[in-house]
Amino acid sequence: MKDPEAFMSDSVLSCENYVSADILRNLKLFSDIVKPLRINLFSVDGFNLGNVNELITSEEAKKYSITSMVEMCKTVGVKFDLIDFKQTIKDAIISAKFDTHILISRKTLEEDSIENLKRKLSELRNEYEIIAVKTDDIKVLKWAAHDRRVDYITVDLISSNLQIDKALCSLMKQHNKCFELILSPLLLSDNKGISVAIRSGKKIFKLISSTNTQFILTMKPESCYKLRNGIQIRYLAQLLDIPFNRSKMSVFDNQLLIALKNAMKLDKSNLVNGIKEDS
Amino acid sequence: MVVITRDRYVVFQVLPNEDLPILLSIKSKIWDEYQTIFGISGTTGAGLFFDNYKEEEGTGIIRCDHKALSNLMVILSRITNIGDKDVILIPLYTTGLVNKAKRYLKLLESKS
Repeated sequence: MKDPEAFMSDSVLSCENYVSADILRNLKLFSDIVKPLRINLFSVDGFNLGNVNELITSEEAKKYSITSMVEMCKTVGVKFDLIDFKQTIKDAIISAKFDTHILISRKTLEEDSIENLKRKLSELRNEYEIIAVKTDDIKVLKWAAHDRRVDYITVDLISSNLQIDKALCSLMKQHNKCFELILSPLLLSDNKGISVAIRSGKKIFKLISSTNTQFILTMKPESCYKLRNGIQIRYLAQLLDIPFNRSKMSVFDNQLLIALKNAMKLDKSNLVNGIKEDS
Repeated sequence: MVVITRDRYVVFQVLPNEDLPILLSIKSKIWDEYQTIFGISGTTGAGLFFDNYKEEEGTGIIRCDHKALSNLMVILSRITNIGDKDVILIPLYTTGLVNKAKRYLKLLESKS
C-alpha cells in the first residue's frame, strides 16, 4: 500500500487554465482548496506579468508557495528541449509534494472585428504569457487560428450559436493550435441548462475529433468551490463523449507546454533587438 | 445461476474540513444527482452503498458496480453544494478490495 502523499502519480497533475483574479483575493481559502485537489498550474485571466510578479513577491503569497512560471523555470534551470524541460518542471512539482502553485498571466480577447483584434494583440502580446480569443464571429476566429500570438480559441458550451466549423478545426490543426473547452456549464443545477451544454458539447467534440485537432479542458470557476482537478475534469468530459484516454494531455501537459514556450519567449534574457512591430 | 458482481470502492473526502455535512445529506445529494443525470434505471444498476463515513474527518467509502464507476465519478465531480453549503467531493482512491480501501482510509486518518 502506497503512502497517501505519494499515491498520485505524475499523470494526475492538474491545471486550471481560466481562473478569474477574484479567486486569488482570499489566498487562505484558495490554498485550502487547491492543496488537497492538487492543482498546481493556474492561468489567471486579466493578470499581466506585472500583476503576477507583484502577487508572488507579497508576504502572504510566499506563505502559500505561490510562484510564477519564470521563477519556476529559473529554479529548475532552463533547458532548450521543451519536452525535457516540461518533464523537469513536472518532477519539480512532484518532488515538492504538489505544494507549489504556479501562476501564469493570461488575457482573453473578446473582440468582434479583425482590426480590433490585431490592435489589441500588438498592444498586449508582451504583457501576457497566454492569449486566448473568444468571439462569436467565425471570420475573426479563422483569422486568429493562423496568428502565432494567439494560443487558444475558447469555446463555451452554453453559447447560443455554434461558432466553430470543420474549416476552422482544420486551420487550427494546420497551425498547431488548441481549442479550449469550458466545462463549467456541466455543473449547472437546472436540467435544461445542462442538457443544452451536453448537446452542444457533443457537437463540438465531434467536429474537433473529425480533424484530430488538439484541445484542452478547463472549468472557468466562479468560486474556489467550482475548481476541479484533472481526473474530475476528465470524468466530466465523458458526458460530452470525450473518451477518458483521449483527454489525458488536455488537463495539464498541453497547457504546461504552451505556458513554458511563451514564458521563455517573454523572458527578458531571451529578447534580442529585431524588427519592431507597429502599435 | 450465480452472478458475481465486481464492485469498486471509492475513498472520498469532503472539502472544506469545517462544518461537515452528515452522511444522510451526502447520500441523498448523490442519489438525486445520479437520478438527474443517469435516470432511475441507471441509479438502481449502480448499486451504491455508503460505508465508513467519518464525520470528523469528512472521509468515507462508496461502493458501486464496476460498470458504474465512471458515472459515479461524474456525479462526485458535479456536486458543488449540499444543502446551502458549498462543498467539493474529492475521489481520493479507487480499488476493487474493501480491505484495501479501509487501509487507505486508516492511513489518511493517521496522517491528519
